[in-house]
This record gives sequence, structure tokens and C-alpha cells, in this order.
Amino acid sequence: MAVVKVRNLRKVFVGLDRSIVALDGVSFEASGHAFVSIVGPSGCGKSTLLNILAGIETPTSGSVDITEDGRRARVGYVFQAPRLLPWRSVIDNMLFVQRDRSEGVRERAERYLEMVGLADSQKAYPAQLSGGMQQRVGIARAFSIEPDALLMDEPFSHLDAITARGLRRELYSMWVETKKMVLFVTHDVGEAVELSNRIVILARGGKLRQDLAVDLPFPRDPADDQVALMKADVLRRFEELDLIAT
Amino acid sequence: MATQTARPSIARLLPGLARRPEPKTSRHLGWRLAGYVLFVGTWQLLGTYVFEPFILPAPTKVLQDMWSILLSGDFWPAFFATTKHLAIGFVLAYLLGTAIGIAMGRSAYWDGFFRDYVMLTLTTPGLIFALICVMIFGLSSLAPIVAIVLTSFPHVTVNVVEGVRAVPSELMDMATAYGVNRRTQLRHIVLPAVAPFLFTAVRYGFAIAWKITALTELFGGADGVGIQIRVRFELFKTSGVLAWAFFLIGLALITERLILQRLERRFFRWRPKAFG
Amino acid sequence: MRIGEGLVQVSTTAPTRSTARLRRVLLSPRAARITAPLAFLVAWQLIAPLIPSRILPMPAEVLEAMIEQAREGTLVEAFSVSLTRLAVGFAFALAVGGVLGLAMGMSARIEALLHDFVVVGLTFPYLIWGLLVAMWFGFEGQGPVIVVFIAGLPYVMLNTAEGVRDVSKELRDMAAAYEVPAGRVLRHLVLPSLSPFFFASLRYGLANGWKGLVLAEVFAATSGAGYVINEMREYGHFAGVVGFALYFALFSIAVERLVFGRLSRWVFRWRPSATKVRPAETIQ
Repeated sequence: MAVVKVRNLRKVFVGLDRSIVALDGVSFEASGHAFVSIVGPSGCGKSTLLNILAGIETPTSGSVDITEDGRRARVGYVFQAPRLLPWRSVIDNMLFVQRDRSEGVRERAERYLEMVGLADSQKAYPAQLSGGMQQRVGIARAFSIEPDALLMDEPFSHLDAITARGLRRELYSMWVETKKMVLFVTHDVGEAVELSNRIVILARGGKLRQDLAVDLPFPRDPADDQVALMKADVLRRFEELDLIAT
Repeated sequence: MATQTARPSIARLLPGLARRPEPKTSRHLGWRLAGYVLFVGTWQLLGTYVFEPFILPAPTKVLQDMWSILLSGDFWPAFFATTKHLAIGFVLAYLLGTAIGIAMGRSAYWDGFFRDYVMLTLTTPGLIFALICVMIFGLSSLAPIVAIVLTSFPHVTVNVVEGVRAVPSELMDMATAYGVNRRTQLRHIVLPAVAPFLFTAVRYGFAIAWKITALTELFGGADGVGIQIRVRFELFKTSGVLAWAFFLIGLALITERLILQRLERRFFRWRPKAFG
Repeated sequence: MRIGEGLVQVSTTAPTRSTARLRRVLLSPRAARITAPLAFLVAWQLIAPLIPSRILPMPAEVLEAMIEQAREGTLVEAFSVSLTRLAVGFAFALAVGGVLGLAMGMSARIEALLHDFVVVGLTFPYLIWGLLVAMWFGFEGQGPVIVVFIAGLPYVMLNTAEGVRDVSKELRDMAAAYEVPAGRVLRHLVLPSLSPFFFASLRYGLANGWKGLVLAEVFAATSGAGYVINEMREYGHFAGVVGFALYFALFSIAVERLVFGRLSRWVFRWRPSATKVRPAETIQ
């Protein structure tokens, strides 16, 4: 079971003439089969938090732990842009991130491509695929390393509404099937309410302002009344917290 | 103190790759100076203690030679001759190159017509032009001038073509829709758009021009820096060759820095800096 | 389109239609590429007699000289010697320049150390190198090879450094997030990312190496294309000089079209043919 512990995390970016506080004493914990959405306006430090969890950035102070049964957890990361190697085929992109190259690995990669419906495109180059297809490869890639937890940074924000909807459903079924923890950054409150069982709200300046449980039953239909009400509620909290520019 | 049990990133395994955009040359001044010191120092040592002066003269010897050349009266006539060739040749090359460039940029026909010439003259070694011009024009000033025109104009043309293509036609359409007349459009849209390319054309054209001037003078000019270099070469005076070479390079550098760059900066004071 | 507009063409008489078509073909850019060398030949033919014939040879004389050079093997021998020197010198430039360029791209300090040398290397006249190596090495073949090295090196260094700097930060972060081992990052990320820059260093390094080479051969060799063409000039074989110069020109065209055209298409076969707009990542 994966466990995430963020304690008093602070990250300051120092520029030539000014410094930016991206995260200001953020603390929270999550464990097990959770789907946690980290929501906030642009510039509130959501991506920075994810980058620190992934090890791409280091904190200025405070600590961050992702563990699985005591050892360091293995993490799969899905970015906003697909970030595929343009000069390698889809299957080679999948293999690029695997821990080892032993026998079953290729089959495993193919299996995850199958899950996102792209098994037939494994020999294609990224440029031959649409944006949505490339992003599906990105998602399959993250799941295919069979990580302990998944980090996703606004993975659907650059896709059209119809494609995004389909991918959200795929993501949901993969989450249910693999029972992994997902930490999901988004600025889209509706998306957060549709997918997660917990919403963490970050404000501008990197402070964690609210930590909400979303208790609606799964699977959720975005058109459902309950979902809409929840969404309205979260948005109202944003306004109360003065997070939306009026 | 930060404690983190996350993974060491690749960015740290290959540290150089973690950094990015254009390195500013003002940083690491120490290393930059170190480069110069190392180079000149090694040269001085090799020239003084290891090699004969006719193989590798020390920088101090070269400087001495430069000084005596200045005092001897050889310098100014050669300098003026080369400057004359360069000025005439380059101006002609620039005019020709610009005319052809505009034609190529605006008309697909002329683009097709001149394209192969431009490509040929760009890729053919300057030696060829120098030899042929000397062959045809013999010992006269015409040889270096024609050689400059032939080798330099394609560099001008290439940049002018790019400039013509860079004129924003959307802005011109907008101006026409607002009834702005042709002349005003030319002055406020076309000219500012093309101007930077015209300057780049000067820079690239000039860079080639001064080299071909010296080369052609060396093979068959009656006067100029090139001839002086040749004389020293035939007498196996390495130091003299280097001395005149530095005069030549100095002339080119001074022209580029003092004149061209100043002009460019004055014209483009309004542009925002890239990394501000 | 107004009714009857299309019908106007049909009603024109046949001869006018075909002359119009002929005019259109002749004035097309394609035709221009053929008209140009023809115009050049015509101009040459007309101007040459006006200058004493010994100086500017007629096209026919030049053609004769060119055929002779091809037949007697002068052409092939001279160019193969030169090309061998080019290959050897440039191989060294690639090896040394590749390593130095890599270092420059990875370390800002090394960049500061070497930057000015690269600039000097780019602008220093090949003439001087040619003369220097002649004085140092006499007429053996090393001089020209060394000049190729010196001429090509700064281009290789510059482009390699640029290539290393250009490796996508997004892809590097992705590889870091997935803990991809360094060897795999080098092989599948860095090296393929470098290929357009490697290509550029080939293109510019070789082009400039060639220019430096033939010039150096005049002073520091007894064989090779540069030496041969100068020899012909000194012996007054003017038709030969012009003919050989045309061979230089043909060589440039051939290399440009065949080698670089084909090669660049193969190297970049994974690129999309239309430029696709990729969504830029927002900074959070």
C-alpha cells in the first residue's frame, strides 16, 4: 500500500531580482487506493508539488515521502504534454522507461497499450498519432511500469472536451482495476469532482487551504445532479477563500 | 534542512544537461581570461624557447615587427590600397546582392533564375574566384574588386531574400484595408521589417569581402596588404606574415566593431532585448 | 465566377491558346533555372571575343579542356587526392570537436573558456593558415589536412554545443521522473536529439574544410585540386583553369543535391511533414 507524507513543504524559486514562493508550508497525507485531486488557480504551485514528489525538483525546506511497504515507492508520471521521444516508436517509448528489459516486459507494455486501445499503433511514430492518442500512450506508459503510485499533471488540459471525456473514463477504469494511488493535479473543478475521492485546494502563493473528502458513489456521471452540486460547492469554497479573481 | 526520500534525478547524474538557454558570456569571466592567458602564454613559451623564429615567432616578436612596419612607411600605402579595393568592391557587391535579393524575394521567376548562381557562388572556394579574376584582369585593382563582388554578393542576396520574405503581409493587408497609401506602407512596414536583414547582409558580406581582398591581392594585385603578405611569405619571414595578418584582421575587426555594430545599435535601439 | 466566364477560353482560336501556354511555360520558375545557364553561356560567348582571347577563353575551348582533363585522369586524380585529405582532416575535426562541443554544451565554464577561440576560428582567414602550414610542413600532404581540421573544428564545436544545450528539458524531466538509467538516456534521448546538429556540423564543417583545403594545396602541396588549378594558371593554360573551375562548380552542385538532400531526408524520416502545433506547457 502506497503512503504519501508531505510535511511543511516549502519551495522558493530564486530569480535575478526577486524570489517566488511556489509552496508555502504544505502538509498532507494520503494512502492506499486513493484518488487525490490537487486543485487551484494557475501559479499556486500544484505542478511544483508534483515535481518534488517525482524527484525532479528538490524542496527548499520540509519533507516529502512516498513509500510502499517501507521502501521508496516507484512512481509513474503523466505530464500535460505527452513527452514521448519523437524519434522512437510507441512501443520503444514504452520500453524506454521500464526498469529492466527482461522477457515479460515487452508483453506487459503491449498489454497496457491494449488497455488504452492502441495495441495496433505500437510501431507508429508519435507524429503519426493525434494529440489524444499520444496522451493515451503517455498514460499507458505510466501504468505499464506498474508503479506504486501515479502522478498526473493536468493530463487532459490540452485535449478537446470529447477526447478528454473518453480518457477520463479510461483513467477511471484503470484506477479501479489496478488499485493504485493517483495524485491528480487539475484546475478543472468538474474533473476533480468526477474522478477523485479527495480534493486538496491550493491557493496562490502555495498554501494548502482546504482538504475535502468527496463521498459520492463511483462510477460517477459528470452529468449527474449530485456531481454538479458538489462542483458548485467546491467553486463556492474557492470564492469564499478569495481564490477566484473577480 | 530538506529531507527527501525521492529518487536522485537524471538531471543530477548528467549535471551539465540540467542547465539551459544561452550562457551569458559575462559570467565565468575568470575562465574566459584564463583561456587567453593560456593561449598567449603557451605561444610565447613555444616561440621563445622551443621553435626557431622562422617557424613560430613569439608574440612579442610579431608585435615588434608590426611596430617596425608601421614606422617603415610600408604600412599606409598598403593599407589604403586594400581599403580602396574593399570599399569599392563591397559597395558594388552590396548593391548587386540587394537588387538580386529583392528580385528573388518578390518573384518566383527570378528566384528560379538566380538560385543556382547564388548557390554555386556560395559554395565554390574563394580561391577559384581569386585565380580567375587575376587571370582575366592581371595586375590591376580590378582583380580584387571583381573577386569581391562575385564572392560577396551571394551572402548579401541570401539575407535580403529572407528579409523580403519576412515582410508581414498581414500588416500590409491591414494597412490597405485602412486606405494607407503605398509610400507610407513602405516606410512604416516594409522598411523596419527588412532593415535587420539588410544589416545582417552587411555583416556576412563584409566578412567574406576582406578575406577575398587579401587573397586576390596576394595572387596578382599590384598593391595592398595581400602583396605585403606574399613578399614576406616568399622570403620565409613567418613573423612578417603574421604581423601583416594581424594588421589585416585588426582592420576587419575595427570596421566590424566600431562602424558596423555602432550603426546597427543606433538603428535598432528600440528593439527589446532577447533575455531581458 | 460569372456564368459564361469559363466559356470565354473555349471560344479562343487554337494558335493563340497554344502560344499563351508556351509563354506561360517559358516564364515559369522552372524554365528560369534552365534559361539562366543558357543566358550565361550566351553572354560568355559574346563577351569573350571582346577581350584578348588568351585571357578569357571561349566556351568551346573550355569544353575541350574539360574533356581532356576528364579523359587524361587529371580530374579524377586531383579530386580524389583532395577528398581523401578532406576526409582525414574532417574525421579528426569531428572527433576533437565533438568532445569539446559536448563539454561546452554541458559546462558553462568550459563554454566561457573556449567560446572566443571558436569565434576566432570562424573568422580567421584560411589564407593565413595555408601560408603557415606551408612554412611549417613544406610540400608534404599534412599541411592541407591540418587546415581542414582547423577550418572544420569550430563548426563542429559550435553545432555540437548547441545540440547538447538543445536537448529538450521536458524529455529530460520525463526521463528523470521515470529514473531511466543514464546510458539509456544518452542513447535514446541525447544522441537522437543531437542528430540535426551533427548534420549541421557535417554540412558547414565540410564546406569550410573544403575551402580551406584547396587554398592550402596551392602553397603546401604538390597534388590535389587546388594545386592543379593554380599550376594551370601559372603555366598559362587559361582554358584549363576555367574548365577546372567549372568542375569545382559541378562538384558543389552534385554534393548539395545528391549527398545532403538524400541524407537529410533519411536522418529526419520521423519528422511530421506538416509542422504540428504542440501545446506549450504552462508553468505552474
